Formats: sequence, C-alpha cells, structure tokens
Amino acid sequence: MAVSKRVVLHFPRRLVEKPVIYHLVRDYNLEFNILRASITAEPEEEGLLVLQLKGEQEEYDRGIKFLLKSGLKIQSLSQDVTRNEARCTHCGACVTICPPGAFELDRKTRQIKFDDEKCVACGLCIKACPPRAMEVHF
Amino acid sequence: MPRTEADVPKRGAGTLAVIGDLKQMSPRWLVGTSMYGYGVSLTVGIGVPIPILDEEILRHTAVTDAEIFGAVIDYSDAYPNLKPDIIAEISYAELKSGAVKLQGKKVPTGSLSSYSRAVEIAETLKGWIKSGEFLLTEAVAPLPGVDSGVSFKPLPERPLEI
Repeated sequence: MAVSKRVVLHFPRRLVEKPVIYHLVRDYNLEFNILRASITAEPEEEGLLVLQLKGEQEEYDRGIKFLLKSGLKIQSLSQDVTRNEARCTHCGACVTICPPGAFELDRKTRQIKFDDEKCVACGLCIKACPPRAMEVHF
Repeated sequence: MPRTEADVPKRGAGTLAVIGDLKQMSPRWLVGTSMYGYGVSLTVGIGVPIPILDEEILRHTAVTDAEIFGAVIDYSDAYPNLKPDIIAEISYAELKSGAVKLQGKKVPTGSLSSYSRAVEIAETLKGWIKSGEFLLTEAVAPLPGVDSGVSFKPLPERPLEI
C-alpha cells in the first residue's frame, strides 16, 4: 500500500557526511521532496530537514528504521505547526497566506478550520496571524 | 462621502468613539494583535444595538452583502502617498466568496476581522436586551462630566504638504 508522509529529521553534526537521503531512494525506493532544509542556530547547531516521503508502507517503515539506526531524530510534521485555540479569534487573516491551503473558512459557522495534514510548516502563518495564535515547534 | 444609489456609503463613513474600563472587559472581546509590517493594535469587539424605529432605519439596516461595496486600494503607492486613486470597487458578497477577478486575474480574498465573534457578540447583546439585563432607554454609565477630572489631550495637527 502506498503511503505519503511528512517528517522532520534532525541531523546531529557527526551525520553531516552521511548521505542518508540517497539510501532512502536507492535501498528503500522512497520518493522524496524537500520541503525545508536548514542548519539550526545554537545551541543545537544541527541539520534540519523537512521531507515528504512516498513509497510502499513496508519500505517506508524500513526506511524510517534505517534513519533511526543511523542516529537521526525523527518527528512527524503534523506536530510542528499548531494553533493555539484559546488565542485564535477566527479572523481569517491566515487563509490567503497559506501556500498549501491548510486553512479553510467554514461557510456555516464562519470559523477557520486548520488542516494540519496539509501544512508543510513553511511558517508564513506565524507572523500573519494577528493574535499570534499560530505556533511553530521544531 | 461616495454612496451607492441605495445610499450605502462606499468608503469608511464614521468612527465610533468609545470609553470603558479595560479592567472590567473580557479578553474574548479585547485582543492584542500585531500586524506584521504595521505594528501593534487592539482588536475590539463591540455590540451596538440599533433601534428599528421606522421604515427608513429598517431599509438601511437590511442591506445585503451584495449591496455593500469596498474599495481595492494599492498599498504600495496610492496609500502611503495619500493618493485618492482606487483599483476597483467590489461588493462584500464577492469579497467573501474567497476570490475575485482583478485586472483580469483571479485573486484570493480573505477577512481580517472575525465574523463568528461578531455574530457571537450580537447574540449575547440580544440576550441581554431580551432578559432586561441591558436597558435601551437608560444610560449604562454617564459620560465623564466637567467634575470628573477627565480632560482631553488636544491632538497636535501636522498637515502634510501633498
């Protein structure tokens, strides 16, 4: 069964030389799309890679095991950009800013629905949200 | 004030000056906001009861989204240079649909104020009026008089040379 998942990978310094993504493709047949790549600031100073991975469920699971064995830290992306429901006023400022369209206006309630499955953690909504209800955790 | 044939204003038509004790207010209706690139502001939810005393008031309050027009303004040039030019006039019905056609292109549109909170505050006020908690013919509190010690700080006018 084919799966598509978004993951956040944390690379400690010692793994910088290791071509892990190459192995995901060659050994586990996973299609990857880089959503974000950066080196985080101090004190961690680690590599951060946000990837979309597509492939067969079994190969995906084995690929993840390989990454963990290599020493990477993995998180699922949907944990990373969250909405503070107490702060959100449903003003709608986020709707047009979001590139993958993760925010949608519910016509009946006029409230804004946030679909964290569509979110690619680009971070544009963080500053766009007037009451600062959107939070990013990496 | 430019108005439509039905007498609906097509630009910002009035400002409500309000006074109240912040410490008695609920943070549900008074929200600190920050507009990136602009600065910090206060988002305020106000419920205003409008008495329908005659047919004319009814006509003016029964206006639909399709009959209310807003101007599309160029924030990069016209706005900072105080030029009166506008790009287009589009109805609220179209703006609320999520996308409009502007200069031949499809442009996404969204809101900056919470419609759901507006409805909530209106319903809350309606409830208070119906239950007698909020009176319509009696002032909630008097405006500060001469003896209150409240004085206005005059605004220094600095007219711009346009």
